[in-house]
Amino acid sequence: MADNNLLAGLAGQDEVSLLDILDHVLNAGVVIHGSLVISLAGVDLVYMGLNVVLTSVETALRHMRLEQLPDRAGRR
Amino acid sequence: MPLLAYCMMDATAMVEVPSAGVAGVRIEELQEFGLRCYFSRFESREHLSRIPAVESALAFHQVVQALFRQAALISFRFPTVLENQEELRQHLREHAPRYAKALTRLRHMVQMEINISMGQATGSGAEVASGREYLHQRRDQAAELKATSDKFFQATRPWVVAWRDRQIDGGMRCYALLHRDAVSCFQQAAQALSQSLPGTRLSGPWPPAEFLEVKDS
Repeated sequence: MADNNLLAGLAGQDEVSLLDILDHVLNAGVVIHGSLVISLAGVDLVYMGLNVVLTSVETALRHMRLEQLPDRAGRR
Repeated sequence: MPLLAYCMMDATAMVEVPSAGVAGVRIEELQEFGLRCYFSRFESREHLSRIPAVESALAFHQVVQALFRQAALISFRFPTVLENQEELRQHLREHAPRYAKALTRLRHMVQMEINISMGQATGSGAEVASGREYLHQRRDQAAELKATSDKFFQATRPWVVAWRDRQIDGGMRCYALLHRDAVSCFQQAAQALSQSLPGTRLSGPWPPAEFLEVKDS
């Protein structure tokens, strides 16, 4: 997870939280077509091909939680 | 050799570049078509994908913010990975006029943001019995979010050059474009209002990514 020194370095400079930072770097800015791989805690979360915009960590985590629900298949 | 792109700025801007970027890798620059692009090279895409995402994202943010404190810039979305410098050059060749125009227009500007959470700010979350009730609730929530956005706009109006808001999953996001030297005044006014409105949060200053394109408003 996030390095404490890294977070300490961010503190007090601007009014931002970790969530704000992640939301910004993943959702704001110029997109160039390309393939992207993002991993969290050593696990590859998302692999995207050409012309696909990266999903947010929040969305990815939500999908992960849904996938992990034990009775998901039974509800269909 | 794949590269991770950070941001671009006017080639004439004088800035001090951080010594290292994501995963401690050296930051290099490419100057073409009146723009200067910052990036780091990695051995392979696999190497890049093995670096924990949150730490990489924070390191990416630190590089961009360090440069943004010194000059106007346009950030790439993280993680923008290109095969080589030629691919980056090709992108600049195609889009340089648009980027240069935006950088000139936004030279002294920053973006502040206000997040309005649906649950707390609008008192929503109650169960509804029918589709009709649900639609009414949605309409009322949208109206309340807009009203909250308008309150912030009115409170910060003297410093706002442009204002945009849009509904997002779970609330509304407001974007204010202002001059760098107006940040402190804007923060004071927005914070004072935020304290009386639960579920609202201020963040920034950010590079003005929401205002890269000119819109009629």
